[in-house]
Amino acid sequence: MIVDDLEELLQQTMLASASVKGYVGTRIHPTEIALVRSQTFPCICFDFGTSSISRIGKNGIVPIQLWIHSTKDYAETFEIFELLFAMLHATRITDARIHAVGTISSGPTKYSDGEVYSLVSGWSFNCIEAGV
Amino acid sequence: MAVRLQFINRDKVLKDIVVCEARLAAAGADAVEEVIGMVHHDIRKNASLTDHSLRDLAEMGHPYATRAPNPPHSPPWLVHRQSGKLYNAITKKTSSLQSIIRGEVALNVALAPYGIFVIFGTRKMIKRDFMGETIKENIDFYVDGFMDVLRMATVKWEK
Repeated sequence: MIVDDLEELLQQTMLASASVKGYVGTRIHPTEIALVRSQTFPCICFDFGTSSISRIGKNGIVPIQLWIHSTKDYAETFEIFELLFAMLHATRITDARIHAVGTISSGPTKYSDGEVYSLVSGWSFNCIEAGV
Repeated sequence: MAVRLQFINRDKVLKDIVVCEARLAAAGADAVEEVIGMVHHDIRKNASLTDHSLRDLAEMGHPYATRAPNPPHSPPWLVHRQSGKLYNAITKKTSSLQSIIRGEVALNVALAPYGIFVIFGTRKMIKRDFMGETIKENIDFYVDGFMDVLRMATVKWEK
């Protein structure tokens, strides 16, 4: 499944960055924060949601929503966002199963419930299954 | 060998092109207005269910809360109307410039600040993007609506 492969690739790519790991450790969740069992901050969440995936053969365009949550301040969320932007926007990421290029399509938008500072952005990933 | 083209009745043709452009621009503005009206109506409708009060939702165990999310509707992103603030904060606007016609449906967060929590979710509440999902669900319908208005304008013009 293209979504499962992309999910794993995104997690691997983010975890491979020492800078990102320095902020969030291994707290990179492929779901929205409300569904994360033990919530600790800062963390990165991304979600494929109910968005439809345009797919032709081995190619697919996968929309995702990406959040950065912090209990410290917005500045921390922006610092992490800058790292992710440099890593994912218009850059080819790849593993043995899938090649993907991400493009930011909306945001980043900040919002806070008073305790957690969140930054959310919309992305679109053009994917090709490896072996094409 | 030479090919010679003669442009007969050039002024009339150019005038027709200008008239056609003006009519298409007017029809385009009508089409955008129509589609924005449809989007606005649908988003408001999807943010104004009245079958569960806050009390009902509490009795159901807070179906949108983190601890046991279990939305009572399908699709799960539909939103109930309580105070009406969120409903009234969904606005529409169109603007027509010389070269571009724009339309937007927006959530005025100054009127309903919690709307952003509903759309993007929080650590205590699952997200329900009633704006984006409404558009995704009906996008073909909106495109057809847009094309219908343009088609009607063209038919009127041909007559």
